[in-house]
Amino acid sequence: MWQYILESLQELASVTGVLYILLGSIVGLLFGSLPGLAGGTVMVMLLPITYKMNPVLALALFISIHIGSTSGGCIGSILLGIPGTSSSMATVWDGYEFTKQGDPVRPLSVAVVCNFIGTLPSILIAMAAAKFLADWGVKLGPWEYAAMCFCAVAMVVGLSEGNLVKGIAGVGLAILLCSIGPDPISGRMRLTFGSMYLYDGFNIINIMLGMFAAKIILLEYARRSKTSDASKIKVRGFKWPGKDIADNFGNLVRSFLTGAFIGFLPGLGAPTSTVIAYSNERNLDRKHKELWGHGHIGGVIAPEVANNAGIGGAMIPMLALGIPGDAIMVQFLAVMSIHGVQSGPMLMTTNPEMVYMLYTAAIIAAIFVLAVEVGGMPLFPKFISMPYHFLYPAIIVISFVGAYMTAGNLMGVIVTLCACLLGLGMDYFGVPTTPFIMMFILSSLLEKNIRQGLNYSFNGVSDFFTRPVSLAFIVVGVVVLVLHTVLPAIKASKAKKAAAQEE
Amino acid sequence: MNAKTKDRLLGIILLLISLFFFYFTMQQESPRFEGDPGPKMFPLVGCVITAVCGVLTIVHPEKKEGKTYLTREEFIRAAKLFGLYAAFLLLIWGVGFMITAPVLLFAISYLFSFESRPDDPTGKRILRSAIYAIIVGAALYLLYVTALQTQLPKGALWQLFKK
Repeated sequence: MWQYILESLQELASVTGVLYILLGSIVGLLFGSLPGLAGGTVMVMLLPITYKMNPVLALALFISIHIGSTSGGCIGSILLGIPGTSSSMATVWDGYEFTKQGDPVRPLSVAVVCNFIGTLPSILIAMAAAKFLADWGVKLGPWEYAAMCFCAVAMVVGLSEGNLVKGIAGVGLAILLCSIGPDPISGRMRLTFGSMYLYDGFNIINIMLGMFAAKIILLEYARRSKTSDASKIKVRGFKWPGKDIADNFGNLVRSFLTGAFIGFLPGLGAPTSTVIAYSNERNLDRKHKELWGHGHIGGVIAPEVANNAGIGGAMIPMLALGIPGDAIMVQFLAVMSIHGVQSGPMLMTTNPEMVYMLYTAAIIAAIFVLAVEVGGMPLFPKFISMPYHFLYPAIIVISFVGAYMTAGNLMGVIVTLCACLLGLGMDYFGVPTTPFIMMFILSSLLEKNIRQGLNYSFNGVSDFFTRPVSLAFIVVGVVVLVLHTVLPAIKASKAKKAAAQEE
Repeated sequence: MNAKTKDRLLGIILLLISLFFFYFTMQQESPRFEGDPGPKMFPLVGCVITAVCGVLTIVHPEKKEGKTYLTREEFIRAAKLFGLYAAFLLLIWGVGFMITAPVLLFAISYLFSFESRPDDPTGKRILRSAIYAIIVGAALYLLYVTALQTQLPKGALWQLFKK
């Protein structure tokens, strides 16, 4: 392990390597701080460019953007009361109160340090756990992989608050669209309608460019989103928050564990972990209950540690099993596949240098992000005042050129435009896009493993239910779906009864 | 459109999509290996899931009215920007990247400047967007064509004129 880390350090310590990580950290911070955009958008936009890049540097750039963006989300939350990313939503509740009281430096300094404290140990945990999980993953068969994919999709569908049917409809649509192109077992063309442009199916990069970059900017324009004016807020330099951290050490540890664990679970991601961490701490802190929501520093520590702790957690299933937990991790897999690196449990054996390079780059990026945040804190108000008329046109053109590069012809741009329309349509009808994207990503893996499982088995479908690991994942998936169907129904009937009693 | 009608319309759309894919999946030849359910299995699973969700959405539509997704005015603005997206497709095919990129950069920057700088006079707005389009357009050309050596469309219309 140490040999790979030293090799990665040698590669990343070059001028180019340092520049890529520094650039990624700054770009990530900037995009993370801007409400409406996030690091995911800029990563999607840059994906096609990585075709021409060194894979090591491409991954280093992406992980720096991801860490920068996750950390930068707190800037908008604290200074404007508008979260830069959904994962910093809970930071608004207490962080913005400090700015209203004229002290934005204290929550910003705490958030900056907590981001670092959340990121670093989570990556170290990922380094230890991914190896263990990959060794276990090698022993699994297609039955277990199919069950894991099912469980991942079920957990994401379960998040379709109060509208499970629409979440499942998104899954159905993704299966249908993924069926276009070559069959993953025999390679025979399927549902291509005679068009050679469909022979490779739809590229996930085009789908994400349309559903994220193009759609988000379209909605920003339609809804007249304005550049936030934070230029009047004065932020002096960083102030070491030693006392705040020491006073809230228990909060910090608990929030870290919550973030790391939820980050590991597919689909839930940082927005869920931050809200859970915040609510937990609020409930546990009986002494200062009245302060929460009115400017309590614990309300900044909990979400900011939890969202960054999810970074390492989400890397574990992606690197160890090749199963991405969220759309950001999909982009890392896409970069790897662009350069011919096969993801999955064998990745640790066939390309260990790539895996350890990603960890090393993440650790360096965490340090760079901390340095940029500490040094650049007085510039934070300028970050979030960047005018949209300079930012959005460049994103659109880069995205469409990227869409062209992905396919090598105009079909890529057409698919991106259609994905933008599909995303708008799904939003209009209330069909959540996350289950759709998740299924789109896992569809070919799921189909391949189900069919291989049936091919290899002596007992047909029953093998999926008689192998303990496979059965466990299927049970978890089913329980999640059932709970999300039954619980809202029970709640609704209780509310109805209560309303009837009141009348 | 109220929530109930919207959900019923969604249900019908899902059913139509399901039927469309079902028809074409059934047209497919299905060579199989021993024990393999064949290439039709997965699309058919997708059809069943989509159709069942379609029926459920029609039978149990949402009754609670939610927030309006886009007002009429917002919809027109969205259509305007989408028109520019579509124009990118036509322009890059017809006149190539070198002309399309600055034109689109100018147009989108100009559109967004009405929100970012509402008090600016039109002349200033045009000049700023034009300078921006030229600088960023040149930077993107250098990035894609010179640094990354990407083959970008040169424009089908120019090729026609050359012939």
